[in-house]
Formats: sequence, C-alpha cells, structure tokens
Amino acid sequence: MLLSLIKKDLLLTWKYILLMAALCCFYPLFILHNLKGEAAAYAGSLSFSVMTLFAVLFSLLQAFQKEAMYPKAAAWLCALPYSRRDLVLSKYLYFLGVYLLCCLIYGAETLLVPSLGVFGPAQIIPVFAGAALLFGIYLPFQYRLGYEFTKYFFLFAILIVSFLLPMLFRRLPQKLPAFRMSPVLLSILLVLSAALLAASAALSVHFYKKRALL
Amino acid sequence: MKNLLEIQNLNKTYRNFALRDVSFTLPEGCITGFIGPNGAGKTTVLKTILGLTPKDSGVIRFFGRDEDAASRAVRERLGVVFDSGGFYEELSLMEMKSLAAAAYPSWDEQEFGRLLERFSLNPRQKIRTLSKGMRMKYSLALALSHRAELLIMDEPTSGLDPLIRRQLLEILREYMERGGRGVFFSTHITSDLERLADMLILIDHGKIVFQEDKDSLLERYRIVKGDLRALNDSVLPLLSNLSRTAFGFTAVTDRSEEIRRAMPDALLERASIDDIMLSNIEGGNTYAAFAD
Repeated sequence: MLLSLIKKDLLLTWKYILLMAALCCFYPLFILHNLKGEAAAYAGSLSFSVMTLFAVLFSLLQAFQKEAMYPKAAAWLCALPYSRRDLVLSKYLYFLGVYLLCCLIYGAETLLVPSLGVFGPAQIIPVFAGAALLFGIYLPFQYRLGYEFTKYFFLFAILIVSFLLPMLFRRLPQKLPAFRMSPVLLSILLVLSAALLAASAALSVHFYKKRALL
Repeated sequence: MKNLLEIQNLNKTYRNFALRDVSFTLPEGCITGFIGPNGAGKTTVLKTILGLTPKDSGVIRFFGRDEDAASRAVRERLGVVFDSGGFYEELSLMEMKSLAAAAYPSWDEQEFGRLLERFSLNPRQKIRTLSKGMRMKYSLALALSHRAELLIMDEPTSGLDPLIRRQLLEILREYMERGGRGVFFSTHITSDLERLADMLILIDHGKIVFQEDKDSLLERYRIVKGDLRALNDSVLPLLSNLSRTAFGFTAVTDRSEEIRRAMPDALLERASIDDIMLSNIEGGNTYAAFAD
C-alpha cells in the first residue's frame, strides 16, 4: 500500500523530479567552475550537499503542493483503507527515494568527472545526516502548520544557504586541517540520522492524526 | 435485520457550530437519505463517521462490531463517494484506480471494467477532463468495485442533470438488489429520495430531528389548504409552515385526522419530503410567517 502512495507522489511530481535531476547533473559542474585553488577540493562535497538538499526540498514541496491543490483527495484516501500513518510514511519514503536518486546521479557524475573527487560513505552519510536534520524538522512543521506557512520559510532558508556556501568556501583558510570521519563515526551518524527521521515521522503521524481533513 | 451503522450521542464542537448528541442507526437493506438545510451538519456527520474529523464524544459502531472507521477492516467494507469526487485531477482514471485498488483486498477488476464500460468512461482520460456527471459515475465505479457493504455518499446527485441523476439512482437500486447492503447518502435534492429512499434522517442545527421510514412519513404528513376563517386557536397548534394569502391558507400537518374533524371543508393533499423537512426545521415556520 505504501508503494502505491509513493507511486502516486511520483506520478504527480515526475516533471519536477526530472527538472531536479537535470539540476543535479549541472550543479556540480557549475560549482567546480566557480571554485579555484584549495577551495576547489571541496567542490564535490559542496555541490552534492547543496543539490541534494535542493532536490529533496523542491520535490517535497511539489508533492505537498499537489496535496494542497486537491485537499479532498487526502480525505478520500483516508476514507479508503489507507491510514493517515500510511500517508505520512509515504512522504518520508518519497524523500528517501529522491535522496537516493541524487546519490545515484552524483555517483555517476564523479565517475565521468574525476575532479569532483571520490564518492563514498564519507560523502553520502554526512549529507544524509544534514538532509535528515533539515527534513526531520521540516516535515512535522508541514503536518502541523500546513503547506503555505512552511514552504516560504524553508525555501528561503535553503536559498540563503546555497548562495552563501560558495562565498564561505572562498573565504576558507588556504590550509584547512584535514578532517576525515572514521567508519565508526560515520556509522554513529547514520544511526542517529535514521533515529531522527523515525522520531520525526512519529511526530508527523501524531500531528496528522489530529487534523480534520476536508 | 442487523444494523450496518450505529451512532450514539455523537458530539463535535466547532467555534460556530456543534453536533449535539447525534444518534441514529442504519439498518441493513435500507437506502437512507440524510437530509437537512445547508449548514445543518450533514457533511460534518459524514466526516466524523468516516474518521476524517475527530469526534469530541460518542460511539460509532460499524457492522455490529465495536469498531469505528479507524479500523482498516471496517474501511475495507465501506464504499465512499464524495461530492465532486476528491481525486488528484492530474492523474488518469486508470492511475487513480490503481491507487484505490491497492487498498482493497477484495478489489474486483472485472466489475470495475464493466462499470467503466457501462458509464462510457475512458480509463486513459485525465480526471480533470471529466464533467461533473462523469466524475460522479467514476467515483461510483470505484466505490462499487470492491464489494462494499455500506455505501456512504455526500451529496452524490448535487449539480447533476436529471438524466445522470436517474442513472445513478438506478445503479444504487441495482446495488441494493444483491442484498445485505446499505446506502447512506446526504442530499438536499429531496425528489431523489422520494424515488429511492426507504428511510429518512433529518438533521437541523447539528441535532437529529427525526429518523423515520419514508413511507410512514409521507403517509402521516399532509398539506392543508382552506379558508382563512377556519383558522382558530384550536387548529393553529396542529399546523406548521402556515402561509396565508387573500384566498386562503396553506399549511403542513402531521395530525390529519384532527384537522379533518376540526375543518371538514379543508383540502388535504399528499406532502412532499420538502414540505415535511420545512415543517420540521427551525426557520421553516419563520419562512411561512414572512409569507403572511
């Protein structure tokens, strides 16, 4: 049943997902072109982080916009054997699906453009943690306060971050202390991120169960 | 005859409106019309029954079990039709059907195909291109393709032309012929109920006014027409919806025998469901008073 709900979200937002996929292809090259010197070493991680957050946010916003456009549809689904929990969890799985798509696109791109750097758990897990933190907060707000209120706040926040990051990287000291996460630290980060998402999903379900549907 | 749905003392309060101790039952084998003026609480009751709006208090029991619509097993036995559908309009009929079919273990693909053909609906068509009548037919096709035992419909005939309304009523009649089923539908088009309903429930200002067999209601209520001079203090309490003109008065009564005795010259005619509804709701009499 969850798969049907995810498929529904994909059918409703496939145009935007294609757009995001195109952005995911071009954004790393754009960042690589704009960063020079030492900072260029961070181009890969930076572009992967920003494009992933952008893609997930934009896709989620589109999915929620469709729900806002057809408010009776969610009510109809809840009158069918779908539970409100199913509806909420499908959005979290949709988010994870878009995240995985970003990983696949970027992984393929690093193979084609080696100057972007290596791509592995050291890149995947911290970005997953960042996305889990951002959307783990965003989604309960969305279910509590509704689409209109939350979209502007989070869209603005992401836009600011994406424009400020390249500037920040240009101002970084020439010699940065090398910092690599150990596999243990990465595992802890992964578990914490998954726990954060699970707690966020539980909170979203709690808020959505209380909402009166149109 | 077992009850498909029992509602006891259902309460739900909003800032400007409240459902107050709503109680009624839907017996098996009955088409029950849920009537009332706009804003009386029909849709709120339906939403609360379906668990789309949380109730403040009260008991809702489906199929004689101590379960409300929060139970998936209960929702699998319900067919739901909303006014205007309630679909994602960018999806095609087939895509939306896949979403519904995945939710029901008893989904009958052949029955759905048969209904689409009967309604002349193209499964590849986008929902947004459907007219209101076609949308309602599609909605009904979805609700009837999983062997639902209770069909709950919110204003299904609203805004439809008489031909499509007649077709829908015919389908509901066929649905009931299979036995062990029930239909509960809210409407303000009472002529549909005169053709189809077995039972009527009237709601006004969030309170149930009556639940009664349609034929007994139509048998009991009469329109009274007579001379103004016949109106006196002894007959006025027997009349409601009283309107006076220079030529006489018209009113509604549910005590026709007493009226016949008190006013032998008065003309008594069969009342419509509209007349019965107006004589039982707040404002119905006010309307008549304004017509003086």
